[in-house]
Amino acid sequence: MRREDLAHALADAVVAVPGVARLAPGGAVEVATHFSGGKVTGIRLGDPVEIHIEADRVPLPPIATKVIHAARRVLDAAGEPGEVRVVIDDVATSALERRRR
Amino acid sequence: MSSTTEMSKQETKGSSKGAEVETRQPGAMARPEPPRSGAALITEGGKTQIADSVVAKIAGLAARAIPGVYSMGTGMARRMGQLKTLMPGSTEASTATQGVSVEVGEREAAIDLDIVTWYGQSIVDVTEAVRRNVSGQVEGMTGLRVVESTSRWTTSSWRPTRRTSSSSG
Repeated sequence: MRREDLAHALADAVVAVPGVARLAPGGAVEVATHFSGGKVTGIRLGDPVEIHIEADRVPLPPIATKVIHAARRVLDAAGEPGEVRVVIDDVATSALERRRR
Repeated sequence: MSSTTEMSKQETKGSSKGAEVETRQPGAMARPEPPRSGAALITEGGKTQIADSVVAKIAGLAARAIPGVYSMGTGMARRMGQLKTLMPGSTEASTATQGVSVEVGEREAAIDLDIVTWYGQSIVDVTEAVRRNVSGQVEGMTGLRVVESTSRWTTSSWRPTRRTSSSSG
């Protein structure tokens, strides 16, 4: 599978997970998969495969688990054995305020 | 609630405030737990990392939720924060991390807070409430254990009704 197809497939699967607001560019240095004609922000096809997200609800660990499972399904279907690493770079403030009593 | 815990030095990342603590469940066999490795938060099939800014945002909002907390941050940071709120487009989120610094390990987080309270508030009571709320919110939302929560205090000499920008400290 071409890199950009894999990156797009991962992006689609990750964004579909409930609790993921969007893919995130990460910290000061942007995380993205670049290819001729574009890029997929928030995904780095390295070892491990890095996925950066912004969450829109709490608690966070179940969201990360679901993202890992979704990514694993895509990677296994593509025959890629690598490990997955999820980084939660931001949380929507509205999610935090709803929970505060 | 007692539990068997051990903090390894690497989790506190060189902070001199960290201490080795080990407690045992009552009635348990006297067999020491093997030291926890510095493995990442291993969720099934992969690793998870939570950015410092996320923990700082949660902690900042949790501290400000306590009524005895007037503001967060040391003098200079507060001035900058006040200027920022005057600019269009700023929300509570942009000042949420003011006065909060965190170090996020793989299972634990160390949180430092600079808190400003009103004159006449009980520092002990407000400290306890802040620590409890910050620990509860961070642990509940991220699964990270809060191992060190330092609160540095400045007391404003102005009463709430005055609400001027100057303060002692």
